[in-house]
Amino acid sequence: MGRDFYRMLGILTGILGGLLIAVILIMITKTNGNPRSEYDERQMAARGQGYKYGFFTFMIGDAVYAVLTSGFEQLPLCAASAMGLIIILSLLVHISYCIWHDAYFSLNENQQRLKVIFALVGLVNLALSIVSICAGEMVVDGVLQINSLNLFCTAMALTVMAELALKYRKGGAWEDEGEA
Amino acid sequence: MKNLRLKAARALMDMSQQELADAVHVSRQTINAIEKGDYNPTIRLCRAICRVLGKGLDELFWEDDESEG
Repeated sequence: MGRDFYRMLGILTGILGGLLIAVILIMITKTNGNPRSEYDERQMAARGQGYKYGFFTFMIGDAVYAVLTSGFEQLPLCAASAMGLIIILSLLVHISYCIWHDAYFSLNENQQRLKVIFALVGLVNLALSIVSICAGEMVVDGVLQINSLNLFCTAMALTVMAELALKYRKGGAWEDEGEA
Repeated sequence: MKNLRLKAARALMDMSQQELADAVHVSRQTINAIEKGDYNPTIRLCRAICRVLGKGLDELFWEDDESEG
């Protein structure tokens, strides 16, 4: 029972706790109690397209990272941060595509609750980022540490919220645009 | 190509896009996209829309040179 065991136990507990919270959050954002998101056929097609762009973003990001790591002795961010950044960028591409093609919110989604959750996620990550920066754990020897993922998550939450606000700025998602 | 016949049939039934969307279990934006000609629905959705609006497939979705603008 070494230190490594407890470290792994802590990480596993964290992952399980995170999954549990995610499931609860998914359930409370649905209007009909069904945890599954229900999309119509056009939304499914658009989400598939968005997924494709997100996937390509991931591959390109991965390739760029491989080239950069072979070209530089030390990147200004650690491997975990770089991987996290690539994942978040890919997610953002997928989410953005879905938002602009009206395929982000499912038919059984409570949009307001989801927006509140996004705001909370952004705030929690922002708070964790500030704590890391104040403790001097964000950047060590000029290298961004894994704590920077909180900062990236904050940026993603802010970007998504800004996109949602822009997309539905005319008075809500359900305004009858083009129905005149 | 806009689907004006769908729009007219919906208006005739005094239904909003949202009401029609709810009736066929799709999003309002999908009905809007079909009416604007931005989305080509599957036969399954076409049939569901026809059933709600009391029209035939030919009447709403069959393209011919005279009625499509």
